Amino acid sequence: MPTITVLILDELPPPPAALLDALESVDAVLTRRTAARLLAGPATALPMADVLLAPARAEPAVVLDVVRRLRERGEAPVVVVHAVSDFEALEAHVRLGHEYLVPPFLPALVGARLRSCSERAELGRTLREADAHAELVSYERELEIGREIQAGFLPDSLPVPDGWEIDVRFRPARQVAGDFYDVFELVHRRRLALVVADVCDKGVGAALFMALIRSLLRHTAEHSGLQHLVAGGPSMARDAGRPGSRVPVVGATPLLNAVTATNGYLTRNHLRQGYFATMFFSVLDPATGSLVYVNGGHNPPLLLDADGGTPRPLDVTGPAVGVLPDCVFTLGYAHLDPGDTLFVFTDGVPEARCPDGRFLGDDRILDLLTEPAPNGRAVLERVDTAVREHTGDAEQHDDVTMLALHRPHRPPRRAAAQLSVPDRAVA
Amino acid sequence: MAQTIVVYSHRGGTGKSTMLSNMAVLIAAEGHRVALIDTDIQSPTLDTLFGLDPGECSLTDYLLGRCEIEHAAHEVQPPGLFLVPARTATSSLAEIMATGYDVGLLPEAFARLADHHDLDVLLLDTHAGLNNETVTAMASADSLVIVVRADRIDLAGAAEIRALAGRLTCRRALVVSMAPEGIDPDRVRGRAERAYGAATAGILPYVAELAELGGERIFTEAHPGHSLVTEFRRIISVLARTEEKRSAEPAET
Repeated sequence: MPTITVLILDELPPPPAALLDALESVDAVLTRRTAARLLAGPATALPMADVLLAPARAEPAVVLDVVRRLRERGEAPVVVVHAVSDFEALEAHVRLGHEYLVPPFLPALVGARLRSCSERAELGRTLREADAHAELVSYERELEIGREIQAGFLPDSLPVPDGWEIDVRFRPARQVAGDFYDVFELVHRRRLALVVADVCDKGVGAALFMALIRSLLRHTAEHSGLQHLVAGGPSMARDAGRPGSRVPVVGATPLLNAVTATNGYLTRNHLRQGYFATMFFSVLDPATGSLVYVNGGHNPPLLLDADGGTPRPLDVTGPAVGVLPDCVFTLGYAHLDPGDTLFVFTDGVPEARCPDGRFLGDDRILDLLTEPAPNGRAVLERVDTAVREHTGDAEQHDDVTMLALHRPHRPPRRAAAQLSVPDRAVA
Repeated sequence: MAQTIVVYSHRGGTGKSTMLSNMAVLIAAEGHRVALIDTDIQSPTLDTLFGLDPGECSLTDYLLGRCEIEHAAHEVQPPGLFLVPARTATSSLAEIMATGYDVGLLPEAFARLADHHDLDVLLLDTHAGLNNETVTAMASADSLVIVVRADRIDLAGAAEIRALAGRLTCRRALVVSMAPEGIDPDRVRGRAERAYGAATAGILPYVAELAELGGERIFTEAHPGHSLVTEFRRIISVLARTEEKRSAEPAET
């Protein structure tokens, strides 16, 4: 039979001797405390109690205060008041749902009453625990819904042009992430947009801004229409085009429009919340391997030569998106020859921490990528293995996102550049 | 590498499409590989002039992603001449005006076509005034020909054209068109060169027989011996590298 814990409220009058004898005979664990002491001091110092034994003459309001206090510790004591005379005082307590004991205090009767109270207290505790658990489950369910919705903001499948390979690794640190990647077609399927971005911070806040930024970028790029060269003035000659050319290359217009419009929207409407994103947004011409990009404060992606050697970083061409109103983003250019791989990643890769807190580091990544790799999948596997080994048992601190764009030596089906003409037309 | 010649005028009706189509025919007849692209999406003319089927693919179809530029280039007479119409019955003006297009597609089309057909000369016709197609064509030019009517030389727009053309590194030349009989060529040349800051490559007389063709036939084919054809040949010899090179340096201003 479980032990019954009884907290005696040390107020006048004290429990009659017969009642104390009865308590002793049922092996109840007794603690005495004054109401003043129970109401002051830390909740952790409060005693455990199935039953709070109080004189009927104690103020019902004071008894209720004590019960509330005990509940803070997770207890659900049942109040039992005792009286040997002045039975009218019982009435106010009974109205509040309190139990009562009156003479004769026969051990069997007292024992039966206390055991019944103890069982109720236990039931009360269990109910409170179940409530807390249900709340936690509900919270986790909400996060799970958040994770599912966020997954909808990542591409279901990647549109991979003939003669190319695209591989992605995406491992959020928590259920929802601030990192994202996107791959979509532009300019009537003549170009491919590739985005890897990292929204500052982690968790739900970063996830909400991820959804916003990803949507702004993609929608603006897909509906950017015509760049007004006449209105644009001298920019047509200087900034927008490839060096030596006066007109933007195909894809440069949606690219610049998407990044500058997103930056404008965030700095106009969300500057106060302090969220921003670093991003690498590139547009590939699958027929030629030419790449035009904006690197907004992002870790420079690495262009890996087919034969190995030191990777070429694609350095920043502007600040992080959402920080500075009206800032200038310029275009960068690169080219992928057959055998080359572009490795794009977020800072969760170099900043992966081992159990003693050290970062994996940029130098280690460069070392890993200096050796030639047969394809993008092998590059991701090599880096991801290093990240996992480095992290070991430690908690994953940041989202890890990696994208590899690879141009195989021999396209699987047909030569991209030569036969691209009928292939690129859109019915 | 193909030489790109662009004709431009600030206002319509200067005869630039007429001049360019005749130049195209004359250059191709000499055995060169030539493409003529009508970038005037708003008011196309060259498809009618060369009698192209209204259902053929056009520059607009290419810009809207319906075909590739190689499919929009149609071989016409004489052999070695390819024509890209601006817009045919397959695409509407409203559609391209509403959706827009990536302006980088234009220079890419010029380069791809030059490569695909191994062109010697690429001729670009433009819409009058300044719009995206015209500015892009001008930015792609090796030689820019400004066409101005003899009776409308001192236009208010001259300064604007001069400023824009000044930002280009290409050669610039003037052609004065529709010159009435008895005009003093030196005086006209002087006025035009002062206004536009470019040397005059030719003065085209006003020719009634041209109007009689109604824009449905190439003048050179209808009247091969006409003095106007001689003047077209002279302009070609000044502009095109296919002939012996003659300089058309800007006049001192």
